[in-house]
Amino acid sequence: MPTEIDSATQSEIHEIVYDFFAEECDVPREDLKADTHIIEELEGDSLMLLSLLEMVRTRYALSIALKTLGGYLMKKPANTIGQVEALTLAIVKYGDNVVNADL
Amino acid sequence: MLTQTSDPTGVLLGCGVDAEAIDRFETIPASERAWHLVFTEAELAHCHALPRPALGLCAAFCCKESLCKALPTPYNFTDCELYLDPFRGAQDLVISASILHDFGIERVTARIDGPHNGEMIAAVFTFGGRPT
Repeated sequence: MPTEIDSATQSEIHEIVYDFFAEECDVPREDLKADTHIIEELEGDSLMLLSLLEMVRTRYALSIALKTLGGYLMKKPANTIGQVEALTLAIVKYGDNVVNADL
Repeated sequence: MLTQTSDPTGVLLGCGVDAEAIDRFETIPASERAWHLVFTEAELAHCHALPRPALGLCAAFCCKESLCKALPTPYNFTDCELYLDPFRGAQDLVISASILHDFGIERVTARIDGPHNGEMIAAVFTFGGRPT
């Protein structure tokens, strides 16, 4: 069963993702937009995504495996901040079933 | 130039290549939170015993990413281990039994090169059974 995401949680996830990339990439928070490309514009990498995943796992007590995340990313790549936010929402909502969810 | 020099065994099933900046493994305390998703305790212990731990961590991460590119579907990075020997360019990776079984793999070798311009490079080759 997917976890219901209320608006407060949705806002919290938005803040987590934007604050994370602002800090990790050392860029002003207000410069980040949904279509900001993580690799091309922020010089981000897969290690950052792993760090964010771990932060989310801890915050929401999830046990999602790395290969599950990989399976999701094969279906829906996360290249921009907005796509990573959608990925994070999906992980919190579906957990380990995220790869089978109708996204 | 990368040259695969390990003993050729069986049928080549796949290969993958990856390069990573070494300093990403030296100056990223935030990323350390996620290392248990990537490295086993034994790998971390091995790397931290090296003169430059970041080299071992970076090389191992390159190998894990390379294996991901060599396999048809994602896997958990802790199912693939590299215990870097800085004096050997070609090394076998330690792969979990489930990965070997699920993908019909008998052996996984890696050619590790670097540091070059602050990066490590790994090419990973997966082999299946010998042709009959």
